[in-house]
Amino acid sequence: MFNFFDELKKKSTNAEMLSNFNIVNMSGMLMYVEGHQGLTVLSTKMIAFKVKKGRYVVEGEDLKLSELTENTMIIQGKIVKTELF
Amino acid sequence: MFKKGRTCVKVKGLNQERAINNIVKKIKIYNYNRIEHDVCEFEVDFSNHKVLIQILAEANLEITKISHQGILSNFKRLLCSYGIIVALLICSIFYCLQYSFILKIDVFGLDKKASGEIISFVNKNMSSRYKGKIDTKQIEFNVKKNFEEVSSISVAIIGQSLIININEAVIPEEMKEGEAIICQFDGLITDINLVQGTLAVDVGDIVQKGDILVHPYIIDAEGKQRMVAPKAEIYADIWLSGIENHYEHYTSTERTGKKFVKSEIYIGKILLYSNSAIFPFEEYQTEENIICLTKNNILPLYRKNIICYQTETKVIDEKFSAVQDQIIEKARKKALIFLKENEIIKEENYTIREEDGFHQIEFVLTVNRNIGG
Repeated sequence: MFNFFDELKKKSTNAEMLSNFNIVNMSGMLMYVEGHQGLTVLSTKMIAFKVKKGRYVVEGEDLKLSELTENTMIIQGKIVKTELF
Repeated sequence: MFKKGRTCVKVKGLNQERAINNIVKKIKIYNYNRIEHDVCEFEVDFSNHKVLIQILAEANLEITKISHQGILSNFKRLLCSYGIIVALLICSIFYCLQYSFILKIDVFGLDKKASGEIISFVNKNMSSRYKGKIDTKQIEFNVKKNFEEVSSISVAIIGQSLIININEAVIPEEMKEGEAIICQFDGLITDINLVQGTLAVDVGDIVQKGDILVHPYIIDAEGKQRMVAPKAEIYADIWLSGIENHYEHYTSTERTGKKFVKSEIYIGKILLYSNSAIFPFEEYQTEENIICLTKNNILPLYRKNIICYQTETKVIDEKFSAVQDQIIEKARKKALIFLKENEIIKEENYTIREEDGFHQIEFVLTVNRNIGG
């Protein structure tokens, strides 16, 4: 079966390092996250979550989670900044 | 509207992230929105709402609002409405019970009158309307035995109807029973041609309207009376008359052609508006018509139009001798109305009855007509 992320990973020389998480940011309005390990901060201005070997922070305005499962989420709102610690 | 249904909850409490992480390990969350620092709102599938409540209780978070949407939740709410369930149950029981009985009887293949007779016969002879006790074969046998006009019959129970299909027997014309031929006019019988039945009159007899002309039976070779449909051609001279009256002195009121329309608006019986209080003519006739101004019955608003026609009264003096021919012609025309197409007039005459200032003309046409039916 075709997998968008797997197809992209094939283009990289060290594909085994790319298995931690996947994030797709669509026009700064919608963000799809795959592979999160739990939320740490949830507010309309900031959503932070743990990923393997780090912590990811999304900042913006009117942020909300339109879908949330154990390891995926869809963030909606005006996404201004994303950071990985 | 979500097909499966969603449960929307509003949660109040601290350290919500930990609770959310616990929730998403078991169920999926939709449309999470942090309203305030300690208040959030989100949705879960309706089927998972009990698990959600349990997790939130364990995390010491307070649910301030919970609502369900979708077909599944509505259906569950319906199932919990005991009134509706009881009503449905009663309806179902009633439906099942009444379905075991025949509600109506339909007869096909006969006219309305004969069908009515068969329906009342079957109703009388049916011991019960319970489907299990109805013997269709017995009904077929009984109907065929009691009704001569039934050639073949089939009875079936379809739904809650007893369907009776009938083929009508063809009875020869001469075997049919009929009613006596009754005279429709006063007249003098001139000719008789009897086809079937027994004559009650003879040539030369004067008959009146309502007299029996032919009896509906014959006496056979054994001297027994046998009922038949009577048939005969009976010709008689009948008299058609037209009457016209004339007065030598009388008053006549005629409309002059001038008219005035008065309009009034009413709500119920209360007058709201009128365009004039009085009629402008000294001598007049009135006509009224009422028009409802609203299409519904809530507001009884209507308009009454009173049309006032100006009239003129004249005193007329007219000598009978001056208009005698015209009056006779008028009376003749009145008599001619009763004449049938292509009927030959045998004789025409008129009589004049005279009183003080009054004349009455009766014009009589004599024609020969078949009154035998």
